[in-house]
Amino acid sequence: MYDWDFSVIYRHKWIFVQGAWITLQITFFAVIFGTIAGFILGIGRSAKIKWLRLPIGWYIELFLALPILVLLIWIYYCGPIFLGINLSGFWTAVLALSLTLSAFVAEIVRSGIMSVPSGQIEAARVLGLNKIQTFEWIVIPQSIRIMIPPLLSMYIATLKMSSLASILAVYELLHSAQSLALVSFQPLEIYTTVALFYVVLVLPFSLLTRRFEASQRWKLF
Amino acid sequence: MVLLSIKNVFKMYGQLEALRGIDLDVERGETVVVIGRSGAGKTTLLRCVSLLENIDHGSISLNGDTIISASDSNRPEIKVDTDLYHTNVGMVFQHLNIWPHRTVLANLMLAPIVLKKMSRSDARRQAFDILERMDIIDKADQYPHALSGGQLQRVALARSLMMSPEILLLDEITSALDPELVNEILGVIADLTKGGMTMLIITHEMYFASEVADRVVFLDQGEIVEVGIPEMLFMRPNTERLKSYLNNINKRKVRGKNV
Repeated sequence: MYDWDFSVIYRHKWIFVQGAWITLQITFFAVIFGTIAGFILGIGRSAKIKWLRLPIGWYIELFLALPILVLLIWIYYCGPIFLGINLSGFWTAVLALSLTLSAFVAEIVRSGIMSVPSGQIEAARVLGLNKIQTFEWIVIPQSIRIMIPPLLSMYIATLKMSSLASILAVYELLHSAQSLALVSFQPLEIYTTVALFYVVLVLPFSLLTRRFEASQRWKLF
Repeated sequence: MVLLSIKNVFKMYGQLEALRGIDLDVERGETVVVIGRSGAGKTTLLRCVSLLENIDHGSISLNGDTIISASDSNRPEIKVDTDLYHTNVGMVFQHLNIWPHRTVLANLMLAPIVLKKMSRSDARRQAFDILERMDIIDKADQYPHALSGGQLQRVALARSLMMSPEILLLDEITSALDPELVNEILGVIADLTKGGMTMLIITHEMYFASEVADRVVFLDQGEIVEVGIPEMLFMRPNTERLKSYLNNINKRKVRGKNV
């Protein structure tokens, strides 16, 4: 039977905390950028303007198709040559995650907007609200409630995918742990702790997601 | 005085002619009820008047001002500020379309606040006024999902009254109601009539129609087949089409009673 010795974790606890902090930072920036871009793209795609819808459609298809790991490596190694951008591992991870997330968010936003029944919109139009007022007062408030659970799931996915930044030697949670495992020879304790850390990081998001489900959602805000 | 004037209106959905030359004038203060089979074009007519659909030919005017006109060669041309027009023409939908994310009060207050720049307290006072008339003042702070069908019905009416429209378009507002509740809505409509409201109402309820209508219009296959006061139309229909429609309705009623 393996002799568990978690003292190594305690001794190096700041490595985990710091790694988790970097993981959270990557996630935070990716969520902010990805959400903003995704909302713009999603609303643009819902608008009935052809020259806007088409390129946005291509963008979404592209980044839905690209595996995040491929994107990460491509930006890091090919980016400087093809695009002339030279990003650190950290910002490469943020960019790759933001691009992927924005495509998913755009789809969530589009389907959320589409899920508002046309009668709801017509009710506003016949009262005299114009398109923008209808969007502001009826479409957004109703669709946002539908978007929130899938958006939170995507944020969880983004947090987990940030572990891929370890291949670019970004000292986020996983890579920090890997380095520690190499010198301490106690991978079992270390990777088990890493797993626990991810669970703890994700848990608040999942609990939040649950809050927004169920019939109560009209009363929440 | 003619308030709403519909002249020679045609509406196509692809190959389907939904409206084929509708001519109808509605006097100020008059209640006109439109009857007819489903698919006859009743709802289409209301949607055209409320500018939710473009007409393909003809014209619609309110108070003598042309709102929209079209001919076969020209695309339909909307001649007024549509947002302003909408505040003068209220519409209640068959499915009511109450906004579920807003309380009853907030459903009522949105349009006046956003469009008329009414202050919150004024809008609130007016909303309470109307809700009191509709006898649902105790539901003001409830969300729509907590209300019954009959109550939602009155909220929908109240919401369209908030903009003080000159004419109300009601699309089968009794269709979702229990038979007993039809009487309740009848009372509300009767009050509106007394207050001088002009109304264009679609219904399948002949009892409802005969109670509220000044004139009844029978629509069939996109055409107005008969127009007249309810007693005339229901007791002595002139055309075979109206006779067969009324017969069908009566048969349905008798069958319903026997079961």
